[in-house]
Amino acid sequence: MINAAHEFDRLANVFEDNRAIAMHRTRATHLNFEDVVHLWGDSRARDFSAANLTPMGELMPPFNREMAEAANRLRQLVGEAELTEGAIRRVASERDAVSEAVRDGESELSNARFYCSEAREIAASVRTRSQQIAGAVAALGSPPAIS
Amino acid sequence: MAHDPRVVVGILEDAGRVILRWTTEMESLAAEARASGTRALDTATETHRQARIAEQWANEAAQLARDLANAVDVVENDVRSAEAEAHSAVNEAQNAAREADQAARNWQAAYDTARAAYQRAVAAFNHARSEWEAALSNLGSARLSLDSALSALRTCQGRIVKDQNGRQVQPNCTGEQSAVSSAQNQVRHYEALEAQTQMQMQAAEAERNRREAEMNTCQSKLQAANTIAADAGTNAERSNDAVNSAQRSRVVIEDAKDASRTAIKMAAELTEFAETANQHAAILMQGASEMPQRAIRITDLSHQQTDLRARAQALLTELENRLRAFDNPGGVGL
Repeated sequence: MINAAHEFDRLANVFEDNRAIAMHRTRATHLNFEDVVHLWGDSRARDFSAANLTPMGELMPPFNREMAEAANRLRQLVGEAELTEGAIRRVASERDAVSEAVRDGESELSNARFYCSEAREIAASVRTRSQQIAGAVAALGSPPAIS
Repeated sequence: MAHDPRVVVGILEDAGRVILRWTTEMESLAAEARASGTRALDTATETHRQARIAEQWANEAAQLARDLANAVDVVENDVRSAEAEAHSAVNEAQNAAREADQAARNWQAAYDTARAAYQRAVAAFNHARSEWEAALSNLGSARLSLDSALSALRTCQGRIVKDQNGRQVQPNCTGEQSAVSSAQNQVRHYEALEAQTQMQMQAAEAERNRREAEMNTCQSKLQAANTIAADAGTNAERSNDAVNSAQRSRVVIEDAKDASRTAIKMAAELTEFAETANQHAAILMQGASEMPQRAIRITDLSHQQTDLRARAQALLTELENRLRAFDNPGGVGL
């Protein structure tokens, strides 16, 4: 069985880490362009910087948000996966217990059938003998009246 | 502020490369998001499949538990039937034993009575025989007496007696004659007595023989009755074995019922767990199914960097051209 909770946790970390990497790279890029403006220091440099940083600045919030939402959603799924896998594990382990209880019951049934059969066999034999005894007693007849 | 053009160009070149690297990484992160989304969906699908398998296990376990419960019902009916048959066998065996015991007691009483009657008949016969023997002895004595009387009479009659005239006359044997008559009477009396006592002895003998036969019959019947009673006792004891076996089957079926109840209870719990697993697996599926869509949105965002990348690439090309101009005197500087 795969470890879904662990897997979702790992995937959430991937999104979190990637989000952090993206943020870090963005900040680094931003600083780099600030250096350009600082060193170049004219309108061309500002235009160049704005032309490159503005699209990046517009792109990052949704990118960041999507990454963060994906990570959060996956974190929520970790709990669900734990509950799911916990329930599956209980089924897997207690299924054997049910089988064992059924086997025990079948074994007892087998014994019960044996004793039933034995009881019936003896009872039938005893009843037959009882009838023979009653017949033999009848065959003895009554004692004569002796004075 | 004046700077070395080469330094400025180098910085700009770095900036362009950073942009390029950034866009490349965004695409790489988007690709990883797609892979992660797919992986999440695969994981949820597998987990859901396992939850369904767990549900199937729970159903199978519940079916096993139901089958066992049904089998327990069937065997318990057998047990009830065996118990009833065993008790019926006990009752019949006890009735037969009581009848056999009663018959044995009756024949014992009959035998005791017959033996007493026989002993009385033996005594009566012995008495009759002694009576007859006495009569026979007396008859013998009477006959001897008669013989003596007859002898005396003949002796008397043979005597020669003469009267006063010298003539022979009949002797006077009146006494001897009387003795003979008396002896004859005695013989007849004892003959009659002997015949009577003999008849009585024969009757007593017949009675004794009849009583003996009667006693022997009773004794034979008594022996048979005792044998039957002993047999009936053994049979009654054996009927307890049937009850014991039925009781054992009752104990064992109660154990089987316990096991069945346990199996049903556990199977019900199993069903609950399986339902829980499926409910949460469904939530998992729903959540995971959003992931590929999120990955697509992330990918779409990364694709929006295309013009940024093109601009960075153009910047680098321009910078390379300018750097070449530095290296060629007379070229255009910054």
